[in-house]
Formats: sequence, C-alpha cells, structure tokens
Amino acid sequence: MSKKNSAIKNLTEAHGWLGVVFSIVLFIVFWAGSLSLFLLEINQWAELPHYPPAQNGQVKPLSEIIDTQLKQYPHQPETAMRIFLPNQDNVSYRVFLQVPDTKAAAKAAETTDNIKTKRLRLKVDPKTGEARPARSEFKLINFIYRLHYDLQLSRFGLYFVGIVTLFLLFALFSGVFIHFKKIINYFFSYRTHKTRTQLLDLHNVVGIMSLPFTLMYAISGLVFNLVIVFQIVFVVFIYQGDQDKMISDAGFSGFEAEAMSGRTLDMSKLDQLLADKQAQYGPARFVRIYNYGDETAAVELFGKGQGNLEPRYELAFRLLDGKLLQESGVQTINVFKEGRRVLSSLHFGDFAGFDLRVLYFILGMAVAAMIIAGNMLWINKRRNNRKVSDKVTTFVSNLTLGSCCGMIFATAAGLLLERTLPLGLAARGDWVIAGFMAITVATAACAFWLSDKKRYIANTLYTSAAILILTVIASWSMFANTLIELWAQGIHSVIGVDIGLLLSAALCGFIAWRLRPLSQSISTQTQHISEA
Amino acid sequence: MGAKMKTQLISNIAASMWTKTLLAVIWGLLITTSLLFNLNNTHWLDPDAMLLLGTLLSFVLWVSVMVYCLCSQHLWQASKTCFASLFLSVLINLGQIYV
Repeated sequence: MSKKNSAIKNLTEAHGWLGVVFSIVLFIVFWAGSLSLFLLEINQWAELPHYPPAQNGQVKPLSEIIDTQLKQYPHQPETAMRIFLPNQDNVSYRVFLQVPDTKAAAKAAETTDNIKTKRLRLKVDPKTGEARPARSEFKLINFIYRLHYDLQLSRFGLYFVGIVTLFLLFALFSGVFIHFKKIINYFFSYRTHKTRTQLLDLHNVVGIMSLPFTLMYAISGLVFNLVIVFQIVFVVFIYQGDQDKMISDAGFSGFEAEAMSGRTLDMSKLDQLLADKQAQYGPARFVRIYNYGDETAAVELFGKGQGNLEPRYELAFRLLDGKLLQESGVQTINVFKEGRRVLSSLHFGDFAGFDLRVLYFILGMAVAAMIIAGNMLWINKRRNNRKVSDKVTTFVSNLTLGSCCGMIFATAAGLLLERTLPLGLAARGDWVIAGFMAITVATAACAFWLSDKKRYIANTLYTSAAILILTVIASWSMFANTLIELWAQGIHSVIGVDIGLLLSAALCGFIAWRLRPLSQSISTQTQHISEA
Repeated sequence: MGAKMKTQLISNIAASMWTKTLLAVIWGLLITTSLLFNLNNTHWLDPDAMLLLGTLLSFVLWVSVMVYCLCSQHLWQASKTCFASLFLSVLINLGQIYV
C-alpha cells in the first residue's frame, strides 16, 4: 500500500473511531443547539399565554421600575444591578438584583467566606410594573440550552463539550482529507439503491455542504468552551503570570465604580440620560447600574446593534453630571473583544433576520443526522468485516438509535408538558425537566429491547408527531383568545412556534411514513422465511 | 478466528487508538503553544489583535497536528517528526528571547 493510501486508511480509521466515541454527545449538542436558536421564541411561547403583557398604558420609566422593586427586594447598592430593556424581541424588563443570601451568610459566618449576596432574577411588565420571578416555572428551553453547552454538568460539562468539539474539528479536517479527491465528483451523487451507499452519500453530501457552517461552529464552540487552555498558555508564557494585563489587553477589564459617598441622588436623571444616549448612539440591549441612589451612581450602556456584525458600544456615564467615564466600540475598538463578539454573533445567528436562524436550524439538524449516519456506517462496516464483536456493534447501534429517538420524543413530550402542566403545580419547572429526562431514558431503553429498529424509529416519530399536534391543540383550546390578542399586539413568536411545531410534526410523520412500509415488508419477508 | 483472539484484537485496536489519540492531543498542544510563542515574539501586531489571531490559530494548529499524528502508521514515526518540529520551534523561541 502506498504511503498516501496508508495515511488515508489510518485517518479514516481514526475519523470513524473518534466519531463513534463522541457521536452521542455531539448529537445532543447539535440537537439542543438547533432548538436553542429559538430560545427567545420558545420562552415567549411558554410564558406569554399565562402572563400576557398589558395592552394599555405607557411604558414606565426605568427608575420607576427599579424604585418599585427596591421597596420589595433589598438590593445591595454597592453591587451592580443589570437590567435588560424591553424591545421588539423582549416584551418585559428583565431585572437582576443582588439581594442578601441569608443561607450563605450563615455559612460564611462559619467558614469565613465572603459570599453574602445572591442574584435575584425578575421579569417586570413595562406598563404595569408587576414583577414575577424569572425562570422558576418555565425551564424547558433553558434546560435544553444548557444541554447544548455543558450537558447540565457545570464547569466539567463545559470543558467536556469543549474537548468533544475539538474532536469535531478533527473529524471535519480528517473528513476533508479523506474525501478531498472525491469532493467534486461525488458531490451530486445520492445513491438510494443500497442502505450503505445511501447513508454514505447522506454523510458525505451533508458534510460537504455544511462544511463552512460546521467549521464556524467548531471553532467558535472551542473559543467559548476550551479557550481556558490557551488563556493559561498566554498568561504563563506570554504575559509571565500577569493575568490582569492579559484581561486588559483582551478588553475585558470592566468598569470600576467609585466608592459610595453616602449622599443621595434623584434617580430620575437615569431616564433622561438613557433617552439621550440611546438617541445618540442607538438602542441599548441592557444597562448595568452601580451605586443606585448614591451621588456616585454610574450607568453602563451595552449597545444592541442593528442586526449586523458591526461593533457594539459599551459606554459608562456618571449620572450626576452625565460625564463619559469609559468607552468601547465607538472610538476605541479592541480587536480581540470585537472578534470574539463577531464569533458569538456567527454562532448564535443573531446578525441577520429570522430567516437566517431558520437556515441555521435546518443545517444544525442536518449535521445531527449526518453524525447518526456516520455512526451507522461505522457499525455496518464493522459488522461486515467482523473486526468487532456483534455484542459491541449491537450495543453501539442501540445506544445511537436510542439516544437519538429519545431526544426527539422527549423534546416533543417536554413541549406538551410545558404547555399543559398547571401553573399552580409546585416545582412545575422541575417536573417538566424530570419528565424530559425520564422520557429520554425510557425511549432509549426501548431500543435495547425491540429488534425491529425501523419500526422502532417509525413508531417514535409517529408518536412524536402526534404529541406535537396535541401540544398545538392544547395551546389553542387553553389560550385561543390570548394567542389572537398577542398576534394583534405584534407578538408573533407564540403562534409562530405553534406553526413550527405543526411543520415539525408533518416532517416526523413523513419520515415515519417513509420508514414504515419498508419495515413492514421486512417483517413480512422474515415471517415468510420462517414459515418456509 | 477464535472468540478469545477476536476479543484480544478488539482490545488492542481500542488501546492503540486511545494511546494514539492521547499522544496526538499532547503533541498538538505542545507544538501549538510553542508556535504561538514564536508568533508572539515577532511583535508584528498589537496585543489585542495578537490575542485574537492566537486564539483562532491555536485550535486550528492543534487539530492539524492531531491529523498529522493520526495519519501515521506508527506512533514513533509521528512522534519523531513532532519532536523535531517542537525542538526547532523551541530553538527559535530561545533565539528570539536571548539574541
């Protein structure tokens, strides 16, 4: 064998082997990531029918909203409060306060730790000022989003997903090397006469077509999850241990407020300053307020951007006299900070319209399918050349199909639970998560019991489609009037998600319908053979 | 092929893949670190631009070295080339610092 062929053979072996080892995590990451592209819309779909925004009245100024909340919650003024402003995407103020944590304070007294505050998240109606705790009742899509970046395993999960992403980048590079000669010739081939060629062509064509997209995801994902490795390298070798200097060079040194003076300040100045600066620099996405109510109070504005990749401003002002204290993204551009933000925009697809996110969703789902197809190819190859025992191939095959079908079914069932569980149910959000996990495990376990895999996939898809349709029916039977009112108010995300669910149900049903006759004919053939 | 031999073969393949992969990851990280140091010592960009370039290049270089290592038939072949590249890069680093 020539050196070149031997290299490709070794690389193919490594591509397949590493792909199989990390495929299930990659599938979960792509599946959850694709759904998370619509995090905002799905959150609104879950919440707004229960808590529709007030239709009448004017949007209350920010200082009034904060003053009302401070009467109820003892925010520590020396810590910053963060507030996301209402806009066409967000219908409410999202307020983050730092309140005393009595449990942590008691523990700190024992352990001499300094953790005495905790973050309180609130959603406030901009017209009525009514507040409710955020994320307590509707947890599904945030849970799925965390599955995407840390598998719900906190810091360990974050780095683990980073390592898996490193192998995804390896799979992309090695895939290009393996198919380099055939990229053009085989690009348009999709041979449906054999399962193996069909899977291979699906894997190759989706791999090539989505290559720029997947490369971007792999590199940006690595920058988000595994940059710690090179941060350490930079600090140790390049900055000789001076971490602060590196953070400053990277543009993340942050704003430092003055110490509190103890003299009070009329905070209605905040509303005027916000209006003036937004008129001058463009809309802000959120603000951070330091020393609220004190003469030294300062506000940081973070620009929303105009739906493109241009720099976004970060400006800090003293409230007393409106003096600019710190600026970034207007005259001073930090290349690292802006580059990272551009990567982030590319990753989340928020630099263009809704249609771009739909395209991202389709590509994300196609890559998830490509990963499963790659796994099945590896299994079929090993089954044919008998290099791996049947037990191993059966186990990998069941695990792949089970986790894939489990995620699909659990997502559909999770959405139904999110829509139908009563608001008064204690720990409602936790019940939805528990249901999602239990359904994933139960569906995956079925793959190990059932021998007719195509029937198993078809049945899972049929049931998922039925559940999605049921979710939409539940949505309309419970909230028909509210949904129509929301649409009339210009909030299209709620009905939009319902339409998305119906389209997904149709797709699931179509795939199941294509699989079912095949499965039935295989079963009939098997029956005839056994009878003969 | 007997069942025992087959199990032995499978475990050998898996063990060799794990070892190969681990070594590829380590060589990739070492060579990338040294090359980033080379790049930084040229001082041809501002620190913020260098940080961005370094961050983006680092992962691409890391994975490229992994691809090279996993292309090779034997671990020692890849290790020899990787060691030579690392040695050269470290020499350049020392030259950039002290000369």
